[in-house]
Amino acid sequence: MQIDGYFNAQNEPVIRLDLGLASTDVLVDTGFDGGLTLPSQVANQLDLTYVGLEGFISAFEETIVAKTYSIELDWLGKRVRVSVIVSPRINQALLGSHMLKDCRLIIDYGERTVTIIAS
Amino acid sequence: MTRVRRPIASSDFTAIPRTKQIIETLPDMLRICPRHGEEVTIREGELLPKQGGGVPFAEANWEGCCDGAIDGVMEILGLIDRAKQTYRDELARELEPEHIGEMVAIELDTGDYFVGADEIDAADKARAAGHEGSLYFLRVGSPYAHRMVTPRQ
Repeated sequence: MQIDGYFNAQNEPVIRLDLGLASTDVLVDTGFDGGLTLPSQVANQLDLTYVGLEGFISAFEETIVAKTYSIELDWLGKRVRVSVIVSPRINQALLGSHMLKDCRLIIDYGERTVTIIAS
Repeated sequence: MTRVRRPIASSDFTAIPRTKQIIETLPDMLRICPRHGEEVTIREGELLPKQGGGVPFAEANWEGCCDGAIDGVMEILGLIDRAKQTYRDELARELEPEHIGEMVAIELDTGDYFVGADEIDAADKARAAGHEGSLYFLRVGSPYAHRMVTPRQ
């Protein structure tokens, strides 16, 4: 089972993620150690379950308090529940390293391919 | 509408920049009055011309549409601070180093805590134990839950 992605115009690895009521492109960001982040306008379309609050540090050293939700989605052939951080300060959908913990991520800049494989 | 102002003690002025930053990032449901739809802010007075070693401005106030809105923001900030302090003062000793990297859910009202692989796992444990209160998540060994390394606007 594998997911194939692509490179966006900024030369960043992206995959298309089916979130149930909507699909969105998410940036594969190994510099983010969580599950998913979603912009509010995407999150508002989804069936999310509120879980709690958490603080995170942005790359600009800004402390942000955000709501955390859970969502059920199909991930590499399995139905999983994933944490989703939603904040007005986040305007990009990110897939973090927590989603990749049982996977192999292959980013081939030469071939321009992005592949996530269940390991 | 008349704005409600509540003075901030000068001894707390040094915390204002950090507090303002956190208020700005709070979810709308916590930052904006549910009755009047207005946000709670902190407003500093005019800068003092001769500050010396003292405070930079003569006064600073919480400002909001009503006392309830200001109370709500102050309460949530206080609860978050208390959760962090509970971690520093009590939980760090208990959880580190064994649970480093795991997520701890601290119930804001009670200070009770639950450790899990991630937020969902920790929250499931809290709910299974009958805790229905608001949860605040921290990563064991860290003052926050997550860190984003790549700069993004």
